[in-house]
Amino acid sequence: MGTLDPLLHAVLVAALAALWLHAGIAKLRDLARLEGVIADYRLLPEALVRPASLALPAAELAVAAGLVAWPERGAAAIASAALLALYAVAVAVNLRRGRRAIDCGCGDAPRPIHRWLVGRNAVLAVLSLALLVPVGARALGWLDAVNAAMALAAVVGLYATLEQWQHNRQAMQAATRMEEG
Amino acid sequence: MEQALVVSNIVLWIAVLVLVAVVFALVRQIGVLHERIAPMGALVMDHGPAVGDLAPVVAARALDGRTLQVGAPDARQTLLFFLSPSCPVCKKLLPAIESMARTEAARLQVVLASDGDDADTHRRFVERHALQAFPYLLSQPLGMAWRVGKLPHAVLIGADGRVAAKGLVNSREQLESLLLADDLGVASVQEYVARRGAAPAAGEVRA
Repeated sequence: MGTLDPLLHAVLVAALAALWLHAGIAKLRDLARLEGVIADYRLLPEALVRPASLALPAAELAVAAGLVAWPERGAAAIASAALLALYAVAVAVNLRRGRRAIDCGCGDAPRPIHRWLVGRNAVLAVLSLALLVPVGARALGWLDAVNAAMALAAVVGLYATLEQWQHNRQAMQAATRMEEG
Repeated sequence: MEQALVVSNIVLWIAVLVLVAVVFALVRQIGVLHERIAPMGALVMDHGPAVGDLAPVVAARALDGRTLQVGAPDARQTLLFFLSPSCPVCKKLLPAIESMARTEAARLQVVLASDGDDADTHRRFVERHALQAFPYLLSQPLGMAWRVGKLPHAVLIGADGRVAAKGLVNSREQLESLLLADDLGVASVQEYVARRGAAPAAGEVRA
């Protein structure tokens, strides 16, 4: 089995940690909304909705911290993939039920769930599991530090761009549906 | 040679980051444009009692045991707000409803409406959000009479028992647009825009 270049590994860790940090903070900032969102997914009995609304952001922040701080980050990588898979399944189940109008609860602006989220989370879960690949031995120089910082900035920017693009696409589809009646 | 590669690497990174920033800014602008061209004001669904019609009179039981004749002529206008404890947008609008009920108390009474069998859930919801001041109706016939499809849905019933304005409301502005639409004598902000488009020479709207 091959190895992953330490530069790629470092960028992946930092990007995933940034993703979870952002997600966890966004959820903590509006716990009332999160509670409503979880209830809307209709996957948990009502008594568990409130505990889940506290557990999810806590788990997300723990994954972010575990990825960065833990020298043995395999567990955090698996937890990251598991959380992403959980969200993907929750969205897929509700799409299958035909409940398309519920808020996905991702990010800042309310947005209906969409199969894009299932695909996105699957890709992110695979990237999380890529952290389990052994890291190759290579001495890192200053140029690697520059590359890592630039690559992280580019990845974060591209992710935000893709998300906004998808947001626009959904807004366009909704507007088209409304015109058609 | 090696130095040339280092320099070109850094130059390329800078170019990539600038491009990412530009693409993001463009996509963001498209998003803002979508928000600007989105329908303004409360969206009126094309079913249920029409604006101007007599409101259907529905007897509905409130959580505290009272029975209300919703839609019957009254001294004040009635704002009928359809909500559900599991609807996040409804919760966000509650402060707007409360402040509207306070500032417009002289001419407006607010009635909250929901449905479902589990009265305890609704009682907890009322307690948690301190909604005891408003009648809180649990009535499926009421929602069906108004053909409420999506929440939060608001209906403004005039003192004469006629439908003054109604629609799906997602924001404080859309909620206020119902009162404004009534003040202007139009059914909805959409109709206001359509009327202005149809008769540009008129320039003003009947008060």
